Amino acid sequence: MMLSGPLVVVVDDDPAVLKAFGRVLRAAGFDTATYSSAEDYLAAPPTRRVHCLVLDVQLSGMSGLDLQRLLRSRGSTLPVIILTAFDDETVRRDAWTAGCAGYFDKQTDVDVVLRLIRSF
Amino acid sequence: MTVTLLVSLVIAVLAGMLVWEFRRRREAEAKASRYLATLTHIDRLSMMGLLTASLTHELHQPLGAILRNSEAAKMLLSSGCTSLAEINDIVEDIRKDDHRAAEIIRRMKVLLRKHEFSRERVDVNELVTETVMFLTPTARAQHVEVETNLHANPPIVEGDRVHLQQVLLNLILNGFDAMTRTPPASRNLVVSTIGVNSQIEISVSDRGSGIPGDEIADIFEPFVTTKADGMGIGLSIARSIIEAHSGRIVAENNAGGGATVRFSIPAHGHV
Repeated sequence: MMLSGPLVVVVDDDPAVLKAFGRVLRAAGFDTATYSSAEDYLAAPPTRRVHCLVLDVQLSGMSGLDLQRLLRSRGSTLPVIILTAFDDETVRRDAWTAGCAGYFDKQTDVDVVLRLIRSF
Repeated sequence: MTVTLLVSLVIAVLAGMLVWEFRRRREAEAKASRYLATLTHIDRLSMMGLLTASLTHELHQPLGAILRNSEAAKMLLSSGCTSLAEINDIVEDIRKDDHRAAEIIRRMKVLLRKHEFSRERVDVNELVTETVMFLTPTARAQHVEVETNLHANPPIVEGDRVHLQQVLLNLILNGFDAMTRTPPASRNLVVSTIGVNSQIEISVSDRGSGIPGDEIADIFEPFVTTKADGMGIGLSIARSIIEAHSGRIVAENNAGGGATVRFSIPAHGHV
């Protein structure tokens, strides 16, 4: 399979979730770059143009929201989707305030997430 | 003759009273023991209540992975993918994540069930590692960094694993609570296991506000709490559990700030 679709970066510290999400994105025709932590991403971001970022909220070290804020403060306009293992009012509000393009919990149908990713 | 009879009568009555008193005390002890077992269970249930968010998060990870994997498999199959190897990998990962979710639920059940005191070989390092992992989502939510300093040669104790885990959970959660006003960057908690003579010592050290000087002496007494919504039985239950293991538990303030609670129990050799 030729992986030349738009590049989606996924950051999640759970290896099983990271692997599965990468898999479903590739099955949908996207190229993927996966990282287990915000720090790993910051240390070695992809050299190719990134289509969008999908970040887990709870990461070891810097959180997904903190990473989003950091990127915004550096002038990044990359669309960021926040994923969470469980929905939380405060986190949702913080995510929207920080300027995320989407906020989903991990049980959301992948078609909904893909529709948003394709819209960027 | 009458005097002898009288003396025998008095002895018989005294003996009868002693036996009655002995039985009364035994019944009282059995009752107290049952109350303690119930209170220990209630304390454990209330802790599990506090951990609901953490447990939910832990369960949602394998479930989320299972969902994404099955969605990936569906997409591949409907796009005419003929790679059985890839489908096989996906199915294998789904199986593994199912087991992972089941293990989380099994661990929850063990802690939620009422539990009679039992004896088994317990690897304290493994107990500490498991408990810290169990509390990782809670630690992350409160921005606490947890470190472990484990004894190089894992010591074995003989004791009740569920109850010892309850003590550890209690001490670590107390440590988290103590640091709610500490700046997030300084929220550090260290759990250590050390061999001291023929005892194993487990200590939980936080960098919180410390224990007020006038409260430190009574901290293990029941219904003593610094928390607005605390029941104040956690540490007294912890002490009962450790004493049932022929151990002891102490609390002290750290020179550099925060407090350390350490408990020691007799060791029974090594792995």
